[in-house]
Amino acid sequence: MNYLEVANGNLMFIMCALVILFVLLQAVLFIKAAWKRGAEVGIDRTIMKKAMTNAAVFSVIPSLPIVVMLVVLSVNLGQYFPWLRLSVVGSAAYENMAADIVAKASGLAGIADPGFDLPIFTMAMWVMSIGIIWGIVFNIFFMKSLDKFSKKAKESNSHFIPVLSGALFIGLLALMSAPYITDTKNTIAIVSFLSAAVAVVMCGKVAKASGLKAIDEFSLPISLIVGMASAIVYTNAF
Amino acid sequence: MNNNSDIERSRAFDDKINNLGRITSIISLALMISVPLAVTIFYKIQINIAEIAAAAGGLIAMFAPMAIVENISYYPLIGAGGVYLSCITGNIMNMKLPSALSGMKLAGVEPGSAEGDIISIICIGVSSFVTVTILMLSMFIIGKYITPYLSRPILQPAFANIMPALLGALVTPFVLKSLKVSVVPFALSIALCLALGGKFVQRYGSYFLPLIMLASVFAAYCMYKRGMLAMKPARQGGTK
Repeated sequence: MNYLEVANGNLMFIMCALVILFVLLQAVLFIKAAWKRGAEVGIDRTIMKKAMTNAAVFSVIPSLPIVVMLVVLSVNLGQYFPWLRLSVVGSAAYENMAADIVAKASGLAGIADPGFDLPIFTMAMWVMSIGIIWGIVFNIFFMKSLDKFSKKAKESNSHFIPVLSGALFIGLLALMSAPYITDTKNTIAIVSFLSAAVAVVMCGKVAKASGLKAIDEFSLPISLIVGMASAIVYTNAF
Repeated sequence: MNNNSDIERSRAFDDKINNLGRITSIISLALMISVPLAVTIFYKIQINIAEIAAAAGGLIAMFAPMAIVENISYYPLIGAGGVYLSCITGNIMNMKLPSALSGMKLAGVEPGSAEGDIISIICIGVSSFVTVTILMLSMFIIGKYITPYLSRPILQPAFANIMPALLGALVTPFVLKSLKVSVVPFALSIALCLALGGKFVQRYGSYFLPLIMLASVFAAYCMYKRGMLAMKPARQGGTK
């Protein structure tokens, strides 16, 4: 039996759809709980709605490359399993690498090797599933304790907390940004970074000057598009 | 704001989120594993557990420590609820974290505050929903039609540079707001990249993350103690 018949078969579809439906349900349950609590602590409903709209609009753009990866991975892995893997934890790079490791461990050249058969495909599914779940496992065992411990610590240090989370956040962003801004060989990335930076500042200024708050509210998706567009312009102009 | 029933309610909410997080994580995990399991059983495939363990072992050795470090690092920013949710659907750095942080900025609440954690759950939940929906639509209907457009060579630089563009947009308002706090983490990160090469730092970023975060907090703490950080009263914007 050709493994693609299994990979594109009904059983595969039903199993993957079950996981994905549950993931959607989980998101709904969390949103409901947070919404209720938000209303309780007095966060304005319109503000929560705006935050939701902003998150929804922004998330479309980073989802697009995932769509492309879905189509790319489907060629060798069938359409349903990549659909699942990219909907839950994992990334295009990880899935490709994991499948490739299995193919090579089975003596093949890669996942496109004609020798890729049903047992190897099944093994790839196992490995791809097991390799990436550890963040979830950590949460199951330790997140509650971490949360309790840090909430206690916060109570005694409440004034330092905004400084603390600010410092943590800037630390994270600094480490993420540094490889791009120091890579003088890849000027496109630097151009994108700077254009988005200018755009986000401009969004704030224009919103203030014009009174159009929406510009500031959507500054992240706007600046992201400006940064990405400038990469296209720069590539074609130089 | 600080009477007992408020504290109790806030604890009750934390417990609810942690229980919800644990239960849904266990179920998702079981469901994820059930996919290969169902195929193995249904098609009567002989699997070699030793081979699977060997192949998965390398990945686990690489990804498990990374996942743990990342979860602990993301927790103060997006709260327990945010971490539970984003670990299930992934794409944390390029989607979940930015949408939560921009939601908090929009709502005028600080990351790490009770209000911040609430907004973060809402934003991350919506973000998960959008990605899953887009992927579902892509698989069934639009994927075939939009992929040729999305894979046009002219668009490639744009998709290749999502991360730097996203970082530029995210980092700038925060750096402008807290210039002093930014000096140490940026100086250290840039020094690391110059010394070890950006690719190396990117690849093992998760391992440098605690170092940079701790240094950043330590520097901020020193400045805070010396009164160098103009302390605004803890912001309560967006709440009554």
